[in-house]
Amino acid sequence: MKLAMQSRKSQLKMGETVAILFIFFILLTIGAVFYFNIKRASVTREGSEQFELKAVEITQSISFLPEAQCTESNVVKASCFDLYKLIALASLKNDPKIVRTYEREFGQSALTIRQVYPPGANYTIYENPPPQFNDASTTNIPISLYNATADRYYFGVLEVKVYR
Amino acid sequence: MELMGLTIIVILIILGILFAIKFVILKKPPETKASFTRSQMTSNLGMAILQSTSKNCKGTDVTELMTDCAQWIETGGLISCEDGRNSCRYVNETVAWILNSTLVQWKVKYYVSAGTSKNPKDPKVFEFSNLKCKDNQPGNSELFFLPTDRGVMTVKIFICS
Amino acid sequence: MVNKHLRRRLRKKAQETEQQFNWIFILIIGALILAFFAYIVLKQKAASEIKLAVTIAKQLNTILTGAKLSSGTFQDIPIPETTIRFACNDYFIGDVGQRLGNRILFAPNFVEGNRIFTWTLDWNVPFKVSSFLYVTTPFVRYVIVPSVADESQLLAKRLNSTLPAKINRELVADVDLPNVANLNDKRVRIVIIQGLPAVSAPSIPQALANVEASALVIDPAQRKVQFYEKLGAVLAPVGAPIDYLDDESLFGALFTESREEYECSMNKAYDRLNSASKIYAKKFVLISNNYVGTACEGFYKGPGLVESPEQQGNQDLLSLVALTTATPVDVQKISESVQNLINTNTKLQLNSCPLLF
Repeated sequence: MKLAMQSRKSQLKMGETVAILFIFFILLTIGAVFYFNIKRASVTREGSEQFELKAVEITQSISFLPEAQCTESNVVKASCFDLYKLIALASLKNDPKIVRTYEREFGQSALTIRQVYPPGANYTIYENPPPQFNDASTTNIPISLYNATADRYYFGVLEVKVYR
Repeated sequence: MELMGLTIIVILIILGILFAIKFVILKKPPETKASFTRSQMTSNLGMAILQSTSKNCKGTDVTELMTDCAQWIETGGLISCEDGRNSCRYVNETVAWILNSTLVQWKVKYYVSAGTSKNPKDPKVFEFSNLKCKDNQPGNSELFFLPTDRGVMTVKIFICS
Repeated sequence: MVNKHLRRRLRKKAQETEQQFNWIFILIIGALILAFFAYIVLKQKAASEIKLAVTIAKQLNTILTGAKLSSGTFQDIPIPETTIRFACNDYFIGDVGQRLGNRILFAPNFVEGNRIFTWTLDWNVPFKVSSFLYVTTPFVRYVIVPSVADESQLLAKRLNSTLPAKINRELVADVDLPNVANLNDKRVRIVIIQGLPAVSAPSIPQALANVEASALVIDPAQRKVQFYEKLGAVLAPVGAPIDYLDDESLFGALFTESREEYECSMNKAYDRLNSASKIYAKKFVLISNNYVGTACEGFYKGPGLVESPEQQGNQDLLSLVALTTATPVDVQKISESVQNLINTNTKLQLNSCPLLF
């Protein structure tokens, strides 16, 4: 009788230890799930940040593209695009070598210049959308458009659409 | 004794969760693109407007029309354009058209003004605002200075954040 | 009595066994818990190392983008202590790589330490085509060794005065080259200015025997460069000499240790020149329509080249397109077209026509 009691006491002690361990592992699992969820959220946020940075980088690159900028005696005019260079660029946008060169710089994006004042044409100088995309970030930057033959400046907008 | 251990564990877990909420979940996302766009918009908008050549006003640019308007603001400006409008009206309508075709459509909060006097009651060459944006609110601003016979004209471009 | 004694012994034995099992249980569970946390710590360590490399790579990307846009500037940038491996299309920090895209960058194979120097120059051929970005560190010493010839001396002085002041370099007479001291440099690049082909391969100064050394021989008369890499204790030539177009390309050869990487970067630059020339040629064909019958027209549009007569345009721009399409690129002929374009631009200015560039 006494032996049976002692054996049950030991079993109870064993059960208690197992229960503590069980709770400990449950807490650990909850912690791990919580941690990994937070980690996943921060990775998603970092992805968005990277995407935003990419959009900024592309906008900067196009703003400083020598093939599109206005120059006089090789001196670049800030935030100004040469209208004739844009027309030339738009007409050559399917040239394989030009496509290859700009693909490295602009990736999956679309670059359009709109003449706002006086109202005029739109020039799509680069377009490379992915077959399927979830999201597109559009950045609009006001610019000047210089018409070298008329020696006139127009008000325009550079529209940068980056896909992801 | 066991209860105390459990309490300590619970306290530690709560602390951990609070720490994670404070530094990970409530962390404000960086405004890289928004701040870049705002700064580009303020500087480029002013430059592009001032540089623009008028559509039908004797080949003058917006800067010339603004200068003329500032110098002869009481009479509405001396330059008379092809369509009969004088410089003040022409420049006002042109800038309004540009802003309506761009910043208003993009739902950007802005405040744009140009004038020679520091007194807010004095007439301005132009003053436009969108979505109740005022230049004392947080945002990005860019000033352009144009010399006129009435002193320096200040063109203010302000984009509210 | 015997039964009681037996029961006591049995209880004692059971207690001992229970205690032993308890200890074994604690040991196994303890080891499991320890192993679990050790695993987490190791994983986190590896992850944070990669994260640090990614952060540095991202920061460097921002630095290089900024440097590319601010032409003519030199920057001394502190970075976390690391080793960056540069190639023509990418750069690597550990296993983390970052694409360079269209950026044309010239750098040693490895950039080590906690500071990097960036220097940007516009590449005008004769219109701006791109910016060249040069990257190095204070741990690379450039030893410029001109021969006694006037042309060599002049080029050495020009290189020395054009290079930003912070770049670790010195001008040494050719007779003094064997006596160059070791200043605890990690890397030394010996730049010898003399005729090519070189009579003999440049030798590594005695004091620099244990330093990572490489050499470049520049022939200013023929406008050629020959790359040398360290092979055991001597410097061995790598491939044939390469033509260089201008000072910007020459600086590229000076900063790049590997001939292969230099050629790759220059090919990227010629690709950009090809695109830019096509755009300029097209632009001036469009402009020429507004100047039919005027003195300007002829400058903008002429008959096409022999190989493609249907394609009208400015002869020199069309030549630039043709020259940069062919492989290998004929650098000497590009120089001729560049000079012609500069002359045409001056004539356009005299005739009050819109300029080429």
